[in-house]
Amino acid sequence: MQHLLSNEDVAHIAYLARLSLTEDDLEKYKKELSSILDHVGVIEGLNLTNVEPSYQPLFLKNVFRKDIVKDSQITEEVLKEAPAVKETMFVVPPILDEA
Amino acid sequence: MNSIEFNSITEAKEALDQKRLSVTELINLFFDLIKETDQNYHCFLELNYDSAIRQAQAIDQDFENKISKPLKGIPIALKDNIVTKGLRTTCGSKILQSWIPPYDATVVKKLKEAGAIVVGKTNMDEFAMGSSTEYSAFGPTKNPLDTSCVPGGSSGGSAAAIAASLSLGALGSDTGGSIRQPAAFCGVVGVKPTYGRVSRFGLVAFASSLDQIGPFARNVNDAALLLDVVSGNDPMDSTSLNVAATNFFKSLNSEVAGLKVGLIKELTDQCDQVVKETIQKLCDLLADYNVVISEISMPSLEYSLPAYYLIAPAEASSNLARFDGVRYGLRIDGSSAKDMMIKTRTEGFGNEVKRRIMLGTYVLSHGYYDAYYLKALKVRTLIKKEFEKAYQNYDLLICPTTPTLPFKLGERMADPVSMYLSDLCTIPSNLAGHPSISVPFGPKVKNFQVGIQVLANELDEQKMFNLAKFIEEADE
Repeated sequence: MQHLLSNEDVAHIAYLARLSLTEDDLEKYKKELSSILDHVGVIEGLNLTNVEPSYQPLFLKNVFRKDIVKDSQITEEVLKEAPAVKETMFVVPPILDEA
Repeated sequence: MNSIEFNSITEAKEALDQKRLSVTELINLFFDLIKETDQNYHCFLELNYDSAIRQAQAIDQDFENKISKPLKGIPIALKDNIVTKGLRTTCGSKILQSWIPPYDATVVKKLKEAGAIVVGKTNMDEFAMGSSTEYSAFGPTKNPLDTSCVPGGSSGGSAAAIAASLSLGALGSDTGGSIRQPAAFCGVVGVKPTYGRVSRFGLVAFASSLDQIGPFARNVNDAALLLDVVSGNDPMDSTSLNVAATNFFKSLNSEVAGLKVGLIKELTDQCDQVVKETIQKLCDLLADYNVVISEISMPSLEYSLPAYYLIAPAEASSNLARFDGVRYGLRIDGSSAKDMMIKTRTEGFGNEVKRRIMLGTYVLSHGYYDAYYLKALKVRTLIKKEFEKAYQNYDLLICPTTPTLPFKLGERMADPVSMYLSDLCTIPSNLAGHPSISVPFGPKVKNFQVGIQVLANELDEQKMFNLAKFIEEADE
């Protein structure tokens, strides 16, 4: 394979994506991602210097609207779906003492 | 009475209007059939029985109400990535296994306003990533035409529900072919509208610049009617287009004489022999009806699959960052917020979703952005320009919807690239933002027909529907 990722590459990508992989996963995804990159990598060779990128398909430019505050009145339903809540707040584990 | 008697929305509406049965009876027929047969197919993840029956009874009590509603009492199935207030919406994922949305998607509101009754939520590849519905966390859907084969995907449950007569209409979402490919595999009609034709508010995002909601139906008339109901500008989706309301259904006609139609060489060439033979038969037939048909070469389409599998995962890796265990869905506890997020995502996402998130993260990361993602966006421009040029000379383009007939369950699971190749013919329309439709045509090969794809320029759905209707009539 031309686009061979290393175990370290895959572990780093997984960390950026907030996923944890076992050693077996690493081997599996390394193989699969490399094979996908081999396939999509054909566009690497194209000379596209003078071509503009298309970030979206049609003729839309920036779409603005008035910033109007509305009460969606679904606070209770939203909080009911949350894993952990205190009053009207979402509760999460500590965020400051991370390594 | 058996629901098979109603082969279309139009027929069911007629039966209701003539009081041959009540809405409640009609809806019960469908639920009875679902309970009896869906164990063979697994089209549905969740049924909306109680609420649907209440709604049906309310319509029956008020049936004389003369306000005409285009879908009054008509059963509709929804892909499970379209959010429904009070009705579980999983996206085929463990991470949303028990999520009850607090609001309705705009398309759901529009369907309800039109009198439609949601019968249930249909199975799908997790987060719409897949081409066979085998990547659902809740088990695959089987093709009603041959249960040893896949129904296609990612909207396989919706396509199969129509094929098995378990609903009269359905909605799916199409990011790279996820409506048209399963429609082709299940022998039904499926439409991807122009990007922005239908509001995406309440569609759980996969790749925002490609996603579009569209209908599945038994025939072209019904598909046009469904699209009329769900389309329209929506302030809640700033990419929804501000264009006049559509009336595709009323304007449908199958007059095709004088149309200029191009057969896309690059996509057709890569199809199996039986698929090529069928589309050639159609071309001969079109010529008999004075359609000007010729082959068109669009060399940049060769790069559409690679461009798509860079752009879609890139957008997905960003869109799926919201599943972090904080506000809704699954949470696996951890020692810190980051640890909780990692555990939640690792446990909640399936293999294909992880694969695409990682691929997207990689191509957006420093050092690879220019080589992969930016280049893919430029290829997208080339493809758009090639379509622009084509539509200067042609009214419509055609090619097969899929390179092959339906494959066996399990056949492509081990090789992601072979799975991706089944979207070869459908992806270009998503990259260009253009509408296209799949309609079954030709002699049966085993239990299947070939899906013919009609592609149109942006907002040119009427022409697309008209040719599709011609193909449908010619097939009868």
